[in-house]
Amino acid sequence: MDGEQALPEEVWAQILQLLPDEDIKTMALVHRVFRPYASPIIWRRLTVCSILPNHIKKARAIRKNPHLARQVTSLHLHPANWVTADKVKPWTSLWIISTPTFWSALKHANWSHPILSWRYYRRSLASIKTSTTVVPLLTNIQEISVIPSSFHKTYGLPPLEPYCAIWAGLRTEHLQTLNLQFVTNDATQVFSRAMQSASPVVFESLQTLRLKIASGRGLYSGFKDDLQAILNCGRASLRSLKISFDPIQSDYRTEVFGALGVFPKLAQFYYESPSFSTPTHAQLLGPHLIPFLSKHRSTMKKLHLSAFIMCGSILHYLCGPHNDHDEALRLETFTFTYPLSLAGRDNRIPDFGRFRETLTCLMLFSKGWAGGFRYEQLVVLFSSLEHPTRGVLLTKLWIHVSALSPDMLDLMATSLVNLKCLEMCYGMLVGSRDQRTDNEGLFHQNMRGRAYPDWGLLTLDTKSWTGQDRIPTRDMKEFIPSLKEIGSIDWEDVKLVFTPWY
Amino acid sequence: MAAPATQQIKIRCNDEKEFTVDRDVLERSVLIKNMLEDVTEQQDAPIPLPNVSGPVMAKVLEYCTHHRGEPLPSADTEQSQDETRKRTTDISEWDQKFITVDQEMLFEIILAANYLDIKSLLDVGCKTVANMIKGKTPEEIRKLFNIVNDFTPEEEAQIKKENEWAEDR
Repeated sequence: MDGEQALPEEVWAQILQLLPDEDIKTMALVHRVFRPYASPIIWRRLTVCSILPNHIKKARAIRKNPHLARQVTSLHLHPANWVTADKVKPWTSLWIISTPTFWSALKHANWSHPILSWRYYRRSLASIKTSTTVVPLLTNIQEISVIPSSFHKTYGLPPLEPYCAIWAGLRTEHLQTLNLQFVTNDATQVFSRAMQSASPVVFESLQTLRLKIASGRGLYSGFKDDLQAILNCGRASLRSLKISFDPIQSDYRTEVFGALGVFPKLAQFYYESPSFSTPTHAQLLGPHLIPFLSKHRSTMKKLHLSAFIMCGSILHYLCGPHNDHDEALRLETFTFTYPLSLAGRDNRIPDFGRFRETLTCLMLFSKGWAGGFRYEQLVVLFSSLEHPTRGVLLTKLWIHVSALSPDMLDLMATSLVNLKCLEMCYGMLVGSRDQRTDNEGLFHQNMRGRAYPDWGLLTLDTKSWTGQDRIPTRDMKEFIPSLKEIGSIDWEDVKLVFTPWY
Repeated sequence: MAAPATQQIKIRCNDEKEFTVDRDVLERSVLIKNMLEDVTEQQDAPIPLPNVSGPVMAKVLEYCTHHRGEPLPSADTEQSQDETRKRTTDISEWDQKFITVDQEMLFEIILAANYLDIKSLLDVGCKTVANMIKGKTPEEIRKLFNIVNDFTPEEEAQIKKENEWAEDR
């Protein structure tokens, strides 16, 4: 039998989905049976950005070949670049996308996830003019990103009225994600006005809102109202809110949290501080953050904090006596980035008891030199998470420990009875918990004869802070018979996807 | 206290080879799971599997036994296409050893996983084939899978041109 017939076409299609673009193009040349499956993958994404000559080539090909346009499912427009790039012919792509044939070709596109990725640039009036024409044609936009071309003040804001006209032209009823980056306070005003120009129908399906607010020149008097107007656009349907601003300035803390209010369906909240804060700053943020979280206790399932060394103090606020709200948050997932001072100034670690009835996924991660948990701190952590009848409910744990010893593994095996996935980063390997110097040999020696037959752990990833895997895989399988996978934990459902602050 | 007895199910392959297997192992196959759910009374007759041979079924059962008890992938955990593509080489150590078989057996396992509706096994098979394809030329792929080129020179030139247009970088 010929090879192309050895598998059904739907299986070949699945295999093609797994290949990088270059290999998919190769497969399109192997046999005609693969072509109908390769072509939609090759052409699914169309980026119109004049900086790269190939984007022009692709746009031109689409204009001339409607059969290729039918394969396009995702459109990325970068209007700022249409007229600011001067390395190649800056007007060419602008001209191509301004032609009726380009858009009539794309009318046949099979939009499944169009993304309007939009970098604004105040002097690009021509791009705004073109956007006013183009945007109403995109009736199935699911994600919009509006980010500044640069943080430099000269790049400033788009002119208000034409910008509002673009938003007023939005016709999508499928918008799910909105990413907004505010360069200056004035941008809040522009975004607020623009979003209010759009039809309310546009925001009816909005699920995720990401806001990055840069504290620039100080607040203007209407900032809170403008921010509130932006948030109100998606308030009814929003399930995930990701917000980044510097908590150091008190007026920002008050105004931003004052504008947040209540989101009836909010299930995930991400907070990221862009600056290197101190524990004192956590005490400033805590009194604002906790009432906000408490207002959402019936819907909130996931909390992520990424705030350098302030996390520890925030945790103490969340878990400790500062949180005097009578009902605990029912969090299922807790993620902390950079918990350098997790133990707090007095070396106490937070009491997670408030979350022991619901918490199944805990990630406490930092980088390299950050310290990590010691044995006795893990004892406190695990006992605070102990459910009265069902043990510690955690099924996923990502943790950094200062020194991994065989008795620390004993502790985990006996305390974390429901754990299925463990990712552990260690500073050194030691023979026992009281040792303070790296001794890999003694670690392995003391592991001899140990076994955890009742643990039930399925996936494990252990690495040193320098990224070395110093515990051979075969050894861990000897100790934990239930292990199915080593070194490939899927954190997809909890990982924070947040574009870098720049 | 003794563990409750697991129900044993008989299956018969297209070469008359029969297997008696724990129900929870067999239920890794959505096809068999649905069949068992449709049958209200206990039946002694083996379930016929006309599209799978004995040696292939033995391999499939080895996989199902190893992965018994793990949650079945659900429709709402589907990843985005790009995310899936990044993970092509992500095959666990055990699965990699399991799928290290000759090409004929590999394709038989994929066909069986597709027929029996065992998504995780189908994924492992597809990822293995994808890894075999990566980085090869069209001619090398044809040789690898015994495929005859059916394009005319003109068609080939047209596809090459379209591939070039599609370049994103």
